[in-house]
Amino acid sequence: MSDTSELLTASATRLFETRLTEEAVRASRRGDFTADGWAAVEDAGLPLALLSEGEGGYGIAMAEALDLVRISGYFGSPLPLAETMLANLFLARAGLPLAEGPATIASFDCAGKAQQVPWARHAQTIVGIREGTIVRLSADQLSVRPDFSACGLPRDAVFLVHSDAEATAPSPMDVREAGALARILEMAGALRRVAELTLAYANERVQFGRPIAKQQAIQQQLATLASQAAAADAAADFAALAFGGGHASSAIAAAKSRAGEAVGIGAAIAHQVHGAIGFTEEHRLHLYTRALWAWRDEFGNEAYWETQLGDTVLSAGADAFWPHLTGIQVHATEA
Amino acid sequence: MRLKFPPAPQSNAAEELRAEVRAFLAEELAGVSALIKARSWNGFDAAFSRKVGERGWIGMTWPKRYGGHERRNSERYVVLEEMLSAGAPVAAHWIADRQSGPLLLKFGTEEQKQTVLPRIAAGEGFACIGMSEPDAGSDLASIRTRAELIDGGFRINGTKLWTTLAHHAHYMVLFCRTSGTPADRHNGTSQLLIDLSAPGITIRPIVDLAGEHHFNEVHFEDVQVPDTALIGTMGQGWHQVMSELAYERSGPERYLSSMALLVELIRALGSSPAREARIAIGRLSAHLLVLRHMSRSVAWMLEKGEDAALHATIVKDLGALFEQEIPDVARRLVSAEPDDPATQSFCTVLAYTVANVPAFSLRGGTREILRGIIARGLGLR
Ligand SMILES: Cc1cc2nc3c(=O)[nH]c(=O)nc-3n(C[C@H](O)[C@H](O)[C@H](O)COP(=O)(O)OP(=O)(O)OC[C@H]3O[C@@H](n4cnc5c(N)ncnc54)[C@H](O)[C@@H]3O)c2cc1C
Repeated sequence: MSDTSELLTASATRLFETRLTEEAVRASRRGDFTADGWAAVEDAGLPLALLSEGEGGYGIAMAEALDLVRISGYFGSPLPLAETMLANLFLARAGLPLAEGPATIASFDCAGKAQQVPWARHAQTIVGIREGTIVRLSADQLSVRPDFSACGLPRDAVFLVHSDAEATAPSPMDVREAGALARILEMAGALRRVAELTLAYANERVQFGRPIAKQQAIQQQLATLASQAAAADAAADFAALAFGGGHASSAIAAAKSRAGEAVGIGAAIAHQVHGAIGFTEEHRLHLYTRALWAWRDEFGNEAYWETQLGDTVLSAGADAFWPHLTGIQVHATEA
Repeated sequence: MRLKFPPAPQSNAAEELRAEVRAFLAEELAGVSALIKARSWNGFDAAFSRKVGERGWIGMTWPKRYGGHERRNSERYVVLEEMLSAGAPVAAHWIADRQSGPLLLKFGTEEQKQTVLPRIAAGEGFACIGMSEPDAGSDLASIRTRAELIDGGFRINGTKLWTTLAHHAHYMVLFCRTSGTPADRHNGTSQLLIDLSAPGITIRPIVDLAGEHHFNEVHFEDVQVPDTALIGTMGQGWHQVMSELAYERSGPERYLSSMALLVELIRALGSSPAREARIAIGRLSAHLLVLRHMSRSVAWMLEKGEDAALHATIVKDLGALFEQEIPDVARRLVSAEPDDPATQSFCTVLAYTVANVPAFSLRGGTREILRGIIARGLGLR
C-alpha cells in the first residue's frame, strides 16, 4: 500500500471512529444527514480518492482508494461517501467539473425519472445518466420524492425539472456496475463488523455458568461466520482490483453474488448467537445486518449477477470453462 | 479481526508456464473419458507421473541439489491447478510432491534428502501418509503404533488405516510413538521414513463405497528399520506432523475435486439453458472465482514464508462445501437419461461424484476439526 493510501485510510478510520459514531448511523437510518460529519469527510479529502492527480485526486491505486468504501461500510455507512466518490469518478472521466458537496448517481428513464437513488435528497450534485449520456445536475434542477431503503437509508425518486443541463458527455461507465461495486465493499466492511460484534458478544454472554463462546456448537457457528466474512472480503478485493480493467464486469458479478451469499449466511449466524437482545431496536446489531440485507439487493441481487456471469460462462462453453475463468484473474497493485 | 487474503502479484513466468502445461495436458489427455478425468487426484498413472517429473513439474520449489527446480511457489501453483482442472491422473506423485517431500526438506537428514527427494522429483518415488489408525482419527495424538528403540534402529508394531496409495508407494512417513503411552498425548511421538518393502509390513486393500481401491490398512509386525529412518528430532513428532498437515491442507485440490462434473454439467445444459441453470452456473462460477482468488493468496503467503495455516483451513472448509454442493446442483438441472448419448457422460460423472463427495469433508481433517482450528484462530479455544 502506498503512503498516501495509508494516510487516507488511517484518517478515514479515525474520522469515522470519532465523528461518525452510532448516533450518526442511527440518524442516517431515518434519512437524516450528519452535516458536520460530512464537513470533516470533505476536509479529509475522502470524496476525491478515486481520482488521478490530474483529475484533482491523489493518484493512488483504485483498489486502495476503494478501501475507504469498505471502511465506511464497517462503520455502517452513515454518509454518502461511496456515492460521492463514484460521482466524482464519473464526472472526472467524462471531463466534467467535480461535485460540490455530497453527490450521487441516478439513472434516468426517457421520461426524466430516476428511481431508488441513494441519498438524492441530500445531494448537491447529481450525476445523471440517460441513454448512455452523462449529465451534471445540481439540486435545483430536480425534484426529489423521499423514500427509504430496506434499512431506512435515503433512497429517493428523482425527477428532472430543468433539463437544460450545462454539461453533458458520453457516460464513461456503467452505473449498475459501479453501484454494485460500492455495495460489495460496504458489505465486506459491515460483515466484518458483524463478525466482530458477534465474537465479542459470545465471549461476554454467560449461560450455564460459562461464556457461550466456550460451547462447541457456538464455536463452529462463529468459525463459519468468520469464514464467510473472509470470503466477502476476498470477493471485494477481487472486484476492486478488477475495476477499470477488461474483466471488471465478470469480477463485479462474481463478487456481488458471493458477498450477497456470505451476508445471508453470516447475518443469520450473528442473530442466532446474539439471541433476543440482537432482535431489539436498541441493540446496534441491526444497524449492520439490516444494511447488509438491503445492500445485497441493491444494484442487482445475487440472481441478477449470477445470470450475467452464467451467460458469459455458458457462451464460452464447457471446454473453455477453465481457461475462461482463469482469464478473470487479478493481481496485487504495484507497491 | 480482519482475515485478509493478500492478492498475489502478477507473474509473467507463471502465465507462460500455464500455456506450457496446457499444451502438455492437451496432448496427454486427448481421448481420455470424462469419468477418468473425474478421478483427478485419485487417478494413478505411474507413466504419466514420470513424464511430469521429466518436465520438471514435481518438487518444483526444492533446491536443485535434491533434484528440485528452484521455481517459485506461484509457478508450482499454476501446475497444480492446471493438472487438477484438466483431470490429469496425478495420484502417484501427488502426496510426495505436496507433503512428504517438503517435510523431508524441512526436517529430514541429509542422507534422506539426497536419496529420496531426487526420486520423488523424477516422478519415480511415491509416498503415503501414515497418520490415521483404527482408534486415532481426528484425535491423532491417540496413536498406538509404536517404534521401540533397539540396537541401531527401531522395531515397529501397530496398524495404520485409510492409507491412500500404500499399495503403490515406495515410502511411508510414519507418525508413531517412540516413548510413553497414548496418555502422554503429544509427547513421545516421532516420525519415521519407512521403506515399504521392509519385511513384516502387510498392506491390505480397503475398497471404498464407489467400489474403488485407493486406501489401505497397513500392518506392522516387528518391522525393523535403521536409526537413520528417524525424520527430524526424536520426540518432536507432533510438532512435525502439524507442519505436514499445513502442507496437506493448503493446495487447490481442496476446491477443485468436482471440476469434471461442473464441466460436464455445462456441456449437458447445451445451447439454450433455462433461467435457473444460468443462475446456478453463474453462482458456482462466482464461488469458484472467489475460492481461486483466496487459494492463490494462500500460495502467495507461503511463497513469502508467511504462516498461512489459518487461511488454508478456511479455504479448505469453504472449498469442501463448494465441491460437495456441485453434484446437488447439477442433478436438479439436467433431466438425464443414462441411455441418451447427449447426457451419458454427464450421468456417469454425476454418479461417480455423488459417491465420492462424502470424503471431501473427512480427508485431510474433518469439517468439524477444521472449524475447531478456525475457532482457535479466533481466540475461542
Ligand atoms: C478418502 C480418504 C483418504 C484418506 N487418506 C488418508 C491417508 O492417506 N493417510 C491417513 O493417515 N489418513 C487418511 N484418511 C483418514 C482421515 O484423515 C480421517 O478420516 C480423518 O482424520 C477423520 O478420522 P475418522 O475417519 O476416524 O473419523 P472420527 O475422528 O472418528 O470422526 C467421526 C466424526 O466425529 C467428528 N468429531 C471427531 N472429533 C470431534 C471433536 N473433537 N469435535 C467435534 N466433532 C468431532 C468428526 O468431525 C466426524 O464427523 C483418509 C480418509 C479418507 C476419507
